[in-house]
Amino acid sequence: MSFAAQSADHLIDRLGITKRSDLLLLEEIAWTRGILVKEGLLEGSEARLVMAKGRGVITISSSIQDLRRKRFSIAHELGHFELHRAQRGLSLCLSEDIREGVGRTAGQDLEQEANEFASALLLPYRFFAPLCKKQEPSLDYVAHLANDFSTSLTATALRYLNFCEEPVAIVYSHDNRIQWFQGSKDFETIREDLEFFIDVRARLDRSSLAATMFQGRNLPSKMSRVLASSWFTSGRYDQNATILEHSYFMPTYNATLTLLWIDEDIENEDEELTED
Amino acid sequence: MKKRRPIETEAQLLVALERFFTNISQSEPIEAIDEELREYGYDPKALGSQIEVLSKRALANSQLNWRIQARQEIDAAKEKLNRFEYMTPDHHSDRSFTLNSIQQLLRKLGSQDSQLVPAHFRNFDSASDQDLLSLLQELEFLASSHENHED
Repeated sequence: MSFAAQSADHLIDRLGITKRSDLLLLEEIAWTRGILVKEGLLEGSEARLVMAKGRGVITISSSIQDLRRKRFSIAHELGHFELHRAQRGLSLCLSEDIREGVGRTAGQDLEQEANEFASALLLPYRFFAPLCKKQEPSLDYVAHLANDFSTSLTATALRYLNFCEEPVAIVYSHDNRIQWFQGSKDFETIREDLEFFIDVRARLDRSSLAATMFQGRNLPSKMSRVLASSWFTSGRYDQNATILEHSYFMPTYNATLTLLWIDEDIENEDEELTED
Repeated sequence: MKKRRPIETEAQLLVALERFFTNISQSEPIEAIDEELREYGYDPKALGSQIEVLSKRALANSQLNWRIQARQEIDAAKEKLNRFEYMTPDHHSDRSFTLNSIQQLLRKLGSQDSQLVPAHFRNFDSASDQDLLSLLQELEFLASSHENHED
């Protein structure tokens, strides 16, 4: 567990939180740490934290409409307070800093840490991890968890990867191109073993369901079997092997979120024989 | 009248209450409960006050108290923060005055390295007047909270 996640966990302990509904009291949680949360007009940033003498004010831009995004922003700023108050007196976080998704630019370690804190506070190990093992992977189940914890689908999906015991990856695509992906531990083991990648910045393969969604075709959102090669670059897997894909189209962002699940052995056994 | 067992400690009170409420029906009207207490030799009003004191003390010391208390304190703090909005009407016309006030407050709050602060406030120079004014408001609020705390 990272230091940021440990800090979030410690806070939950200290407040005696034993049921997840308490996590909805985010303003109250912040207040116990000496932080007042308010909404206000902010131009050029999503959130601001002003700290002095062990107290602080978090301002969340009133332009953020999505309640779950607001919650993540509050938790992110609280993360700065808990983790970085020795380094920073005042912090202004732009929307690209408060990432519920993956990816960062150089020099943004503090932002990344604050994001980790936010994720661990809103989706704590003690409540969230057991649920990740309860059902077979699917975006429907992740969406159900996101609803229960009042967190975004993307943030929930990424946290889900930490605790899911299946070889699963989450892929975010924008405008028909892959933007980022992240795999569970088991997925990464297989990926390294079979030497394939998911090609970030590449156009989506036409045979993937996600690509079909960008073409405007109204597909039912359900787990479907597709060729592994629809998503993976060439590697030591059987070219006829299939995996499961579940994609959601997010029209507001012109994006898709995809869950890939390697639910059966995809290794190219002929190659194994040749090697022998 | 049944013989009253004297209650001298909080622990005895809790034991007596537990016994009493275990035996009493949930749907019993309050008047009947009062009557029953009197039969046991207790004054319902005095007992109520005793329970109130005890429960307040227990709540104040409880780890779970933040769930109840924080909301009231937050509302009061927001009211206090809003009061500072009316203290800055003249600043609207003078951006440099606002900036100076912010810097002064930062120095007053002092423990942070004032050189560091602008470095992390990335759009400090290009921040809108509105952003600067709300920042000033928040700093005034924090400075005042700090003073109250020190008092």
